[in-house]
Amino acid sequence: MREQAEQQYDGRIQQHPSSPIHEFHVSAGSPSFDDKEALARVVAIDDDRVWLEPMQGGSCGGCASAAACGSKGIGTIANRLEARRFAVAGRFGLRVGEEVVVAYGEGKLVKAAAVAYGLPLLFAVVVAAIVQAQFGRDGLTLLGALAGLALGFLAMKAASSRLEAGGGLEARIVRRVGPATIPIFPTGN
Amino acid sequence: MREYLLLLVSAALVNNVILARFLGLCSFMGVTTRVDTAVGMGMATTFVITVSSMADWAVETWLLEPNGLGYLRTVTFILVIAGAVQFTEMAVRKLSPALFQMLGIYLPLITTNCAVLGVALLLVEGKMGFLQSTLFALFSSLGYSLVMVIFAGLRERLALADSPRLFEGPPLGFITASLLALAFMGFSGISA
Repeated sequence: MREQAEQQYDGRIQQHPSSPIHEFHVSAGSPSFDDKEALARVVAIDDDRVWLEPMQGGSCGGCASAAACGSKGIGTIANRLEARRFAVAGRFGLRVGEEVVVAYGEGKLVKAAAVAYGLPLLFAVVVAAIVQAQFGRDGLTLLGALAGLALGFLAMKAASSRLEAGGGLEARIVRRVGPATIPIFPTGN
Repeated sequence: MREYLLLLVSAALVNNVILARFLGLCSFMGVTTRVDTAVGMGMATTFVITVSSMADWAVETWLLEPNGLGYLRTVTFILVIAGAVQFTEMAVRKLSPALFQMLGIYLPLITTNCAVLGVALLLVEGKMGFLQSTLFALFSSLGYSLVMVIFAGLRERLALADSPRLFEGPPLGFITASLLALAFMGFSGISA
């Protein structure tokens, strides 16, 4: 299957008009991800969708998956990773435990982070500074910061709706991860 | 105003969390392979450091210090930080599931980032008012984000550079980090 894939796909990006997966890549050797890609693991498969869990790369390999973590409960790493699971429509012939590369629209991550974290923080600090300048008391400034944070979260909700309307926030599966990256073929799902 | 400008230069550059205090090194090495991920991680950490510092200031000022419970500071702060992180995730998830999903894929969990606890403990040493401590936390985390983005930009270029095979990846990353730390040492002259 893989040999056939390597023969058929020569490394250039190709498009399949009937598939919900937009890109098919083949990259030989060690995986090289561009700016908008991330790793995820298949944790469940429904009739018409695949459930994925983000793989936490980088600093600590121990938290790579909720399934690898013994302790569960509110606030634990396993619990938080479980909360980050998401679904992608289609099955693509994937099996539970397989690793795939998922992608979002380019440049969306920075915008999403700015909206989710930047806006509430900006509101909190600005309102706290105004309250401090007006009243000069720490207790009131703290209350002002909390009120600003609440306002900021409301602003975040409004801004995120606008961002969603612009599109590009939906994850799509790009390819499987293997010893050499294997393209995903449409399976008719 | 001058006081706050000095606080900005001191917290973000002279006493940079990563390159002067050597905190948050795990994320510094782990999440700096791409600039956009580093920007996202910087924003997330900035939010968590600032918000948890607000809560830590309140706990320290109104609970720990008046009751002589300073020996519980580290444990309490860890609890407060974990609560702040959990609250943030719940709020983002509830208010914007699409953003939560996207950020969850790209940004690692922040609980174990020692920079968050380090800044909170530094605030106690500083004996500052609420706004000052909040701005100190904000500026410290902006310094953290600045270094993350600079380092990610350097690593993106280094990945394309023709380097000896033995030095590829983390070894070259560590050498670059040390050179960056030396460059930031230049800011310490400002405090003299």
